[in-house]
Amino acid sequence: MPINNAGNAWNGQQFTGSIANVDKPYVSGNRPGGTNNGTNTASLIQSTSLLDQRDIYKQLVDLQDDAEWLDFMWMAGKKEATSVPTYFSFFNDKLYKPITITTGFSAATGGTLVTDQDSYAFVVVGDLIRVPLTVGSAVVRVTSKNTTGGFNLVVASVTNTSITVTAGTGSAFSNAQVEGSLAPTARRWLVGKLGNQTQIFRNSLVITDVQNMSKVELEFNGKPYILPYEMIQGLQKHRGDISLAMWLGEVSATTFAGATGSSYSNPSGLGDYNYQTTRGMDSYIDSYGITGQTTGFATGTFTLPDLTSIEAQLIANRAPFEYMMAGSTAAVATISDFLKNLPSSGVVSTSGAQSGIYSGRLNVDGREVDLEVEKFKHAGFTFNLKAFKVLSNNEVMAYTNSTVQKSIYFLPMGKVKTVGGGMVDYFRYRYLPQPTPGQGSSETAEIMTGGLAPTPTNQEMNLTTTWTSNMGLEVFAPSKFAKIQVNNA
Amino acid sequence: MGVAIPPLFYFFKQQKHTQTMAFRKIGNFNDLSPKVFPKLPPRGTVVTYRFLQTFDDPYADTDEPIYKAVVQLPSLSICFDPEKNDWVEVGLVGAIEPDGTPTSSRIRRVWQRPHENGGLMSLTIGKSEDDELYQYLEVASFNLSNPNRDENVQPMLEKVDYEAEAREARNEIKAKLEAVKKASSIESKDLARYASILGYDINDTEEELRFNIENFAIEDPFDFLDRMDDTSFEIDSYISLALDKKIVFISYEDNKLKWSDTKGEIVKTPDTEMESVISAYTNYVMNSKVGKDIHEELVRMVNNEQPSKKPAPKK
Repeated sequence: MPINNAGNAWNGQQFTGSIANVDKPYVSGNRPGGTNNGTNTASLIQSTSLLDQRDIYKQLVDLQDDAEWLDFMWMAGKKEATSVPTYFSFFNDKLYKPITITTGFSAATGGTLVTDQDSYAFVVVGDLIRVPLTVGSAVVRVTSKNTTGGFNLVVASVTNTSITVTAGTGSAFSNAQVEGSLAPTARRWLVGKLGNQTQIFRNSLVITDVQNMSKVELEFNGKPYILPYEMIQGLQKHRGDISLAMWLGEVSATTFAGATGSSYSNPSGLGDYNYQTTRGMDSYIDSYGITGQTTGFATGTFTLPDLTSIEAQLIANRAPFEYMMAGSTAAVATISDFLKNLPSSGVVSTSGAQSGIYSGRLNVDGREVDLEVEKFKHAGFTFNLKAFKVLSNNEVMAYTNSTVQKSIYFLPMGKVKTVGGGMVDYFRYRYLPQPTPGQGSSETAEIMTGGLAPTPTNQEMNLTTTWTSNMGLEVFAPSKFAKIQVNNA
Repeated sequence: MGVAIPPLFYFFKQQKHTQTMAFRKIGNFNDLSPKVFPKLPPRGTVVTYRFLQTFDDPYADTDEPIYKAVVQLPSLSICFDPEKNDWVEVGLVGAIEPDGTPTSSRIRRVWQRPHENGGLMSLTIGKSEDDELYQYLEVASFNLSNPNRDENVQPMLEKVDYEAEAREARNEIKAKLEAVKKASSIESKDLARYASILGYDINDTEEELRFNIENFAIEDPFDFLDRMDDTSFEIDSYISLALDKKIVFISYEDNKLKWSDTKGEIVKTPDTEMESVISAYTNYVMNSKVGKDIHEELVRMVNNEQPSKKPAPKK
């Protein structure tokens, strides 16, 4: 196999980069004096002068943690199999809506309110509306509706006093019917829906017979061979890809179902196929959640009024009272600084005995997960501060115009109610079980082929390992999630 | 143990942080020169802003662009003051600390729900909160309509100028009418020439040619009118048709436009792209006497008229 180490620049001490699809520099074929990384790379596999010995710590240091988001959801049990690659959730309509009054009436006990079309459609005869007056407000009852020259609600003051209703926003807060009345006009409730889809993730590695049996100075799982290392790295990259897609991904227009006209034709002649991508957490929140920034984000400051303002928006969206504040280390540090600088009266400990902030285990839906989070309470909310190292990964998150690293994400803990009494996680990942030879099915299928596979599939002396997963993120009620920029660097 | 504050009470309590503050100079903030300092329109004027960021969701019930659900307008921004020739910090600031930084509790925080409001935000002049916000937005860099904005800041909204938009829409309608009028008045003998320069197949029937040209005029009226008004349109269209009729050809070996019958050179071209060839020919015709003679001959050949003595090939 040809040697090509383009991209593996040797700086005299270590490789400064690697390209996954080229041969590895630490195995046979990379002889001293070679043109590709030459003698430097060979130092990893060849004996050196007897008096020129080094002490090598044989365990490879693991610096990567890119699957952290997926691992978190896995640890917290936030996962559910799906039977098809597209999944929907439906949510109920709002029970109350603000009433937009464009024209009121002057000095009368009753009159006509001109509204916008949506308000007119929502209100039924018998509804009570608190309407704005020149000074203060008053309650009127809707006696009839008509569309003569506009969307008109004919109303009467319930106190029978003369009022002047101004343009503004009213509140249809209740209804009052007369004795022995007919049933009021039925109101039809709509159902909203939110969809997402799984995404096929595939990663693979190939190793030849010579590469497989060449000894290296490092040990992986107690063995001086490179294959275990490649396997671990390959699987980590596979899970990293899934994890990052579930944060940064956008839902694709193409789907597995809509493959007509696809540019990809299956090599076995099974037909045209297409890909689909899953919507990540950032996209969910950016589109359907609460997005903002602290007033001092340019200087990396977070204040109590900022928190108060965000809480007001969460309350307005009927949010739960326990949140995980997730973010990059830098974003979490901004919040941490804010907390540490607060006077003790500013934050109330959940333990009761101490004031200020403390670290503890994160309780995720009844499971205690030892993540050593900072926890604090404010205004009825409990916030668990959690830094995800993956969100600090400059190689992935620092793209131009990115605000991921600079933001704190408010993710509701616990479960959201479903109509009828059930509960479901606010967010979780869905997976389409993968057929795994000899094991039935699993979230991720690992398939080995080639002459070196446990069950050889051909005469070629290599081993190809492929990992395949079909997964996607699912978020319920994204309106209760928030993304707040707290830093600008 | 602390007692959690009931949320409803809390919601009202927090309102103190959104108290109205007049837009005025405080410390270094809003220190704009009188010419740049935004003036209020007459009382009762409704000013509308349109949010710019939309997204598509293949699973949405509508094909219409979807606006973000809840967004916070940045409370602090920056604006260039041409009078001072310097950048000025602007913001919804009610008080500042001794070190000049704005007092966090006296910064107004404005949240909007673009999707619920069809992507629009309306302010009514005469309401103090709206007045302050209007003046701030006029000088905020995230407002695309602010001529003195910082181009590095991602625009978030723009002021809707209904009159200007109506004028623009009317101009387009007028252009379409004029373009269609011009397209429909093209004589039959010229149809192939127009079709050729617009990129259509000259072998289509007259009805098809007319449809293609008129459709082009409707779909892209400004482009159509520009082409018609171009002084070189006549020459461009003839050389295009001559190429389609294979009266002339592009010699790819030596980057030249040549006569098909004699293989004589007409003009050298910078490359063999159609646009470059037409442009080179047009320049040659417009800027030389020989070129004019050659074009007359080409027109005669395109129109199937009796050939005159062809000008000598270019040396």
